[in-house]
Amino acid sequence: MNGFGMDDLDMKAHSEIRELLTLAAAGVLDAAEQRQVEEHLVQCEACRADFQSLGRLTGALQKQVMPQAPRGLVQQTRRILELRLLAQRDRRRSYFFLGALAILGWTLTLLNWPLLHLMDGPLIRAFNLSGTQLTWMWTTYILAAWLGTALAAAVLGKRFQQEGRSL
Amino acid sequence: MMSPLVETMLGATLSFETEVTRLRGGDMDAIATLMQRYQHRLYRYMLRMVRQPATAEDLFQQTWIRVMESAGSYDPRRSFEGWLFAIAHNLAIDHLRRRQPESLDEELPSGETRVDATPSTAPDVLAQLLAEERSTFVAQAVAEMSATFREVLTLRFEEEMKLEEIAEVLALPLGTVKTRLHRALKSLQSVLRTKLETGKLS
Repeated sequence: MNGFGMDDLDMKAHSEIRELLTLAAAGVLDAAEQRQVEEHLVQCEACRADFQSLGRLTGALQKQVMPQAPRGLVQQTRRILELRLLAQRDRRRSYFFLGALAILGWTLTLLNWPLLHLMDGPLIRAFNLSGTQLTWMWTTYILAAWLGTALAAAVLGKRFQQEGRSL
Repeated sequence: MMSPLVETMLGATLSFETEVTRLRGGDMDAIATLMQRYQHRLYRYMLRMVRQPATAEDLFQQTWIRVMESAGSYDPRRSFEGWLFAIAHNLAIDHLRRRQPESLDEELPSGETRVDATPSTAPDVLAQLLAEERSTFVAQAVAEMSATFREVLTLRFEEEMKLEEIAEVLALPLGTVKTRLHRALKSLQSVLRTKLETGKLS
């Protein structure tokens, strides 16, 4: 027997149950553990007092004033989400155009050779072009194709940068 | 023949499932409906975690942005609530880590090892005060606790989540959640007793 009038076996059960009191008061024990606690509480005054105190504490926690979300928060969040969604769609479209421009740039470059042959043969005969005129036409074509795609890519890149900053 | 109550409940469940399905397709109206449904709970959770209304609002918005961005990867077999609060938990913890580089488990400056120091048979002035329903000082004491304790108490007692749900939100084993809840309650009990004894309760 010990100071509480319990034998060592009871004392062991008592210590185990004490560890469960908080969870019992929080209502999270399974049925078997809850029954075990309830049976012990009938016999143990100290645990009963502690359990009642914990019960009041958990009761007070449940009765706390529940703050509500400020009026307009949902609408404000929805607006932010819609803007982001629009920006995302816009960006996807821009990526598509960027891809298309890259393909166009490559296509125009690859078309160089057949075009040059065309200019060198039937065109030069039909329009009676000189060698210098032909070189100018070819250079203008190359520069227009490359500069056009580079400019479009730069404009899109700048737009991505601005969107990235505003998001 | 179904009773009107069962029909209403079934209708609400079906409607909720529809919203979640539409959410996965990136439907803005579905997100807005879910936002409306969870606005108070989510805001309250954020407020309990960060304690500043403006930051709570900001994190509330970030949570829904994250929901919209990851809606496609949401597994409908998983509880939507658990998924939503897990996102909110990660954002709140990231925020707290950025703002408070010290441990999130840290106790109050005055806090000795409160859990172990709790007297088991102390004269229960606390019980008397709690019986008088002075729950404002409980809220005050909770607000001063560490983020991990505040969180588990909020999820259990305000959001009324089961242990399994809390474990899902926090991505922790069930045993760890039990221990955390036990320690949080013991710590709160101890803090309140200390405050009562030192007359620091307002």
